[in-house]
Amino acid sequence: MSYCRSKLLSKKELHDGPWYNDVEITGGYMTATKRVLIVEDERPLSHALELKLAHEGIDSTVVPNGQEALDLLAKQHFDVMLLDMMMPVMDGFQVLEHLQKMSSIPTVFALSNLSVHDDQERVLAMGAKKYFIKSDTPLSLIVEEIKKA
Amino acid sequence: MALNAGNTGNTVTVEDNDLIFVTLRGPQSGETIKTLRETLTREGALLHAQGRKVRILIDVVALKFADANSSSRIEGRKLLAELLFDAMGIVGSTQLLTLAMYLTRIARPGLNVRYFKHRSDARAWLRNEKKPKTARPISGIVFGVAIIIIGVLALLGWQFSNAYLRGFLPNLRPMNPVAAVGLLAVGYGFICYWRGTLGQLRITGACGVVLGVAALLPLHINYLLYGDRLTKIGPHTHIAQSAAICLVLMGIVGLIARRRDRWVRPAEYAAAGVIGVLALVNIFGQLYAHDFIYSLSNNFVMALNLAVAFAIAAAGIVVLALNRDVGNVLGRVTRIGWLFFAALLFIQIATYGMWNEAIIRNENASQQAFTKQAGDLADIVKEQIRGYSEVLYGFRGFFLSSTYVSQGDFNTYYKSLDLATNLPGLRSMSFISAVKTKDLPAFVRLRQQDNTLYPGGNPTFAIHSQTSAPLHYIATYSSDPNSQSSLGLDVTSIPGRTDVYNSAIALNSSFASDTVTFLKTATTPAEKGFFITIPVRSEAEQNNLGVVNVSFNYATFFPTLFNQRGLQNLNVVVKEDDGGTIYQFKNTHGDLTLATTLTVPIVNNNWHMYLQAPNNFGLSKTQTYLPLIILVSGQVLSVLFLAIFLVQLRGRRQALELADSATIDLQSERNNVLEQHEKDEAILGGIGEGLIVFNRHGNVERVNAAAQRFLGYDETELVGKNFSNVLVATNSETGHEIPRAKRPAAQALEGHKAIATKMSYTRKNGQRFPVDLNVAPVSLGGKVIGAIEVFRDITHEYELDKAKSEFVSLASHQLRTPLSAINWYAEMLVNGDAGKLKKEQAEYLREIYEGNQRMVELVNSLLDVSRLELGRMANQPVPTDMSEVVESIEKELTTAIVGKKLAFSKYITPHMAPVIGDSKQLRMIVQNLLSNATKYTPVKGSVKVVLRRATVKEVLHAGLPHERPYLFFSVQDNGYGIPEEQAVHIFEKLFRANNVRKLDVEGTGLGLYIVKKVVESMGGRVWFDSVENIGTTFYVVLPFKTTKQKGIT
Repeated sequence: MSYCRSKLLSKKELHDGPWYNDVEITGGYMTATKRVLIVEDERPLSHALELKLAHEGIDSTVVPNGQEALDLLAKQHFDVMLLDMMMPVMDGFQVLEHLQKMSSIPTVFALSNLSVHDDQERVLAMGAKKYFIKSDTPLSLIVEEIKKA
Repeated sequence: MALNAGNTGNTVTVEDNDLIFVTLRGPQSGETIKTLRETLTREGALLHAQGRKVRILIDVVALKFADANSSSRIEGRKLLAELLFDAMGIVGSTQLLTLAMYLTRIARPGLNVRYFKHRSDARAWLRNEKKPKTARPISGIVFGVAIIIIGVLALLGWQFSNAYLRGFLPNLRPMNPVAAVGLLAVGYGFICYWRGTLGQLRITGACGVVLGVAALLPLHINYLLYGDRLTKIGPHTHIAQSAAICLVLMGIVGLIARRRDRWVRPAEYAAAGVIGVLALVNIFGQLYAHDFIYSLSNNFVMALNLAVAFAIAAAGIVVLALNRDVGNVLGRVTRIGWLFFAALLFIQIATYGMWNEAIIRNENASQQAFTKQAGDLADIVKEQIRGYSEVLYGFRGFFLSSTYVSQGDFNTYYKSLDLATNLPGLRSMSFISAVKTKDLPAFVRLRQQDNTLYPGGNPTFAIHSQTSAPLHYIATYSSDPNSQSSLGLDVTSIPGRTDVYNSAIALNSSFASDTVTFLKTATTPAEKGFFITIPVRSEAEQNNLGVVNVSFNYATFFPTLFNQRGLQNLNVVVKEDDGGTIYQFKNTHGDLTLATTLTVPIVNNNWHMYLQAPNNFGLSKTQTYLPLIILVSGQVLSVLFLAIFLVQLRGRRQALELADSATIDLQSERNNVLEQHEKDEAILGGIGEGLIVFNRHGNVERVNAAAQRFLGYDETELVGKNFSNVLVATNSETGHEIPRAKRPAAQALEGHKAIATKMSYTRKNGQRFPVDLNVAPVSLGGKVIGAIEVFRDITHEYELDKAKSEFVSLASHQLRTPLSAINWYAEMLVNGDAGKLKKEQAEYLREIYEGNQRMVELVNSLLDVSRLELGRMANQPVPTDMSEVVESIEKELTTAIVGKKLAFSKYITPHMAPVIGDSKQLRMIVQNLLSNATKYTPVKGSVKVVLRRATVKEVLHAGLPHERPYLFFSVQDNGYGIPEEQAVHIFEKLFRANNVRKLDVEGTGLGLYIVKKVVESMGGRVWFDSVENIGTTFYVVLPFKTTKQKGIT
């Protein structure tokens, strides 16, 4: 369904977003193959991300903790991972640790509400591409980054 | 340990056994001694503070004072004295007079200072340290005073009242003064024993030995002192050799008194035994068995007083031997006093000796002169008489040369002899003719016709007082013109004369008469005298012509004769054989100790000359007064010496007073140090924080109770050990052990600066605990001598801190999660992701979205504040271009600026150096100030931003050190301003001024609080000027290189 939704994105809508130019540069077509794994225990947030990505025509899968994310990664390929840092069962740091051992990994965007400076350093050092504080980051920015990835 | 000892020659060494050796070497000055003493006081106080007993030993090697200026030299000596009193002992030599003087002070009992010959002696003494007894045996003073009294009496008896003493005890002999002086010395020795200064016994002992031996020897000085005068009252062998032997023995006892060898006590008993026996023998010899003892040897006769003195001394020595452990055997010597004593004694003895010698020489000289004078006088008389005889024989020849000698011939011949000049004392010269009765008429006629003298002869010449003797002696001629009337006198009429003439004629030689009284003449009185007669006999005719007579009157004869010789200072009496005085001559009186009698033959008689003269006969005035001059000079010299000695004594007393006060000062100084030490102990013990003191090598010197409690170690486990060996420090964050060089204590000792940090220590049981720690170096004279570390266990704070951090994280997460949800869903709605919204819906939704955005900002600000307060604000200094920051914020605020139509102006110095600081924090400063300015400035207002280098004035205004470069940043607006009464609260957390609260609800009251915190944490200052409704200017001054702090508190 989300795939279809992305196809339905009108030209005008595309022009309203700040990513318009970037999309043009990439050739003016959307990569239907980009798959996003959302690792987030907070249901309202994961749902919002899912909705937004679907609206942008990006396929996404939601898992509620790190362990399930790793399990899923073992079976499927994902291009991008939106990783919450604070989760039950296995938190984002542990996931990053495991990812470091893996050969093929998705681009990781860490999403956190902790906003501890040290955390940011640490997360980036462990292989995440970007670190976003959820409350300070508009969804549109996340989508833009995903598209760039 | 090398310490500052004033100069290069001096050293101060502190030994492990707490002995401090001070070596004074080479030239000293007040300054060097002062430095030395300060060092000693400090070291002593340090040892005292550690509860150790300090023992300072002064070692003197060629000490002298080098100050050119006398007052500083005196100051140096005073300080040296204080130094000595500070010391417990002295090692080595004490060659300085000053030092010797001060030593007497130290010799005082109770002042615990000792003298050691070598350092090893001091160390050995320390090992067997005993408390010296300071008891004063009463026997010492009793015996000492008794012996001295007897010694003084002996001296007085010898000089002044010997006769009285002899009258009191007839057998008593005067004491040899040398022995008496020796007795004084020995008596003083006993007093030394009482005072506990047995060291002086060596001196008194030496005096005793020397004077005793001197008394034994037949020395000239002895002879002079007791010789001549004393031999008159007794045999001069009266010096009791036994007494001298006693004196020698006592001297030896004094010499060995300080020794502690095993043989000393038996030797003392033996000496006392011999002295006692000798003394007793003499006492009994004097009182009961004098004759017997005396018969053994004259030398055994001894003065009773001396015998008694030695008996007492013997008893005293026994007591001394019994109590020889009593008293401070480590006495000190007042050499200066003894030097003066010896000098005085020497002067006195020398004076008396020289005086005596001079007297004896004078006596000998005057005796000689007197004897010579007497002989001379006798010779003069003899010579005179011989001269007369010759004249008489000349006359005889004159008379015999012709048959008739006329009156004129006689006078002419007489005058030619000039006898009045050559033979003084001549009364007259006459010719007495011997005429038989039958020849008288012819004789008279011949005389009457003699006209050789008077023209017409001498018709009045007649015989008168004619006797009936067969032979008449008729005075015929006379040299005396006044006795012409006696011519013609029949001398046989005068009794005695005829016998003289007859004797002369019978012997046919000259003959002298006894004393006769010459007849009174017209001009001469009847006076006594004598005459000499010589017969004139013609051998050829066997006829006696007469006699020639020369007469003398004594009154003229002797004075003329003697006065010519200029006799002075002499009495002369001349007597005849029958004892009649014929002449006396006295021109002196008084004590005439010189006398002699000479017999002078006068032709057939003898004259006896008795001569007397005083004992200075024939001496010059200089010679006469020489003994007196010697005596007076000697006494004057003694008085001078005494005066010098008294001056020295006074100086010493002053030094002692000074030393007393110095000692008191030192004691109180020590007490203060002790008291301070106790106080310090109490204070340190009471401190709740751990305290560790390191020495310069990092060895632990002390730890307080709290530190022991924190670390779990005992004081004994830590003190003396290096901190890196006993205290394990780890990084609280990483858990890694901190290497020694990076340890705060090491850095403080090396880097000379105080360090404050947090780390973890490990307890004895292995448990780690976080500490907040401050280490500061301790400097003395620019050199780091150690460090003091204060720390506290911050486990609790650490946990609390952690809990707070966790709370902040949690709050951050829990608050932001719902805010994120609202944000994102609102965003999607606004964007029309869920379908196109009505105008009202879109408007309401925007309100929700913006409200939520403000909530997010508030939460972020609150989190910033929390981090600031917890010190958890990240701080990563990087070069930050402030103009870029300003521009970026301006961009962010464009909507508001444009919306409110604000005039925004910037004055930025181009190409300014970047600020080294955390870019986020720097941004916070600019962001808060600029957003405030735009927020609180009404529509069409103006905002002015200035960014440049700060001037010195501004830096000083900010109260910052102006050596570093600073950035100046100001934001000026013409907004609502800050009410004056609320200005003081403007930087407070959650404070908002009344005026803006009414106008606007957007503010959080956190912005300025954050600005101030951040600016100050970076080492800068923020302040403002504001007038309500006119505007506000905020000023920020920041160092280009901001202070890096682990966190902001």
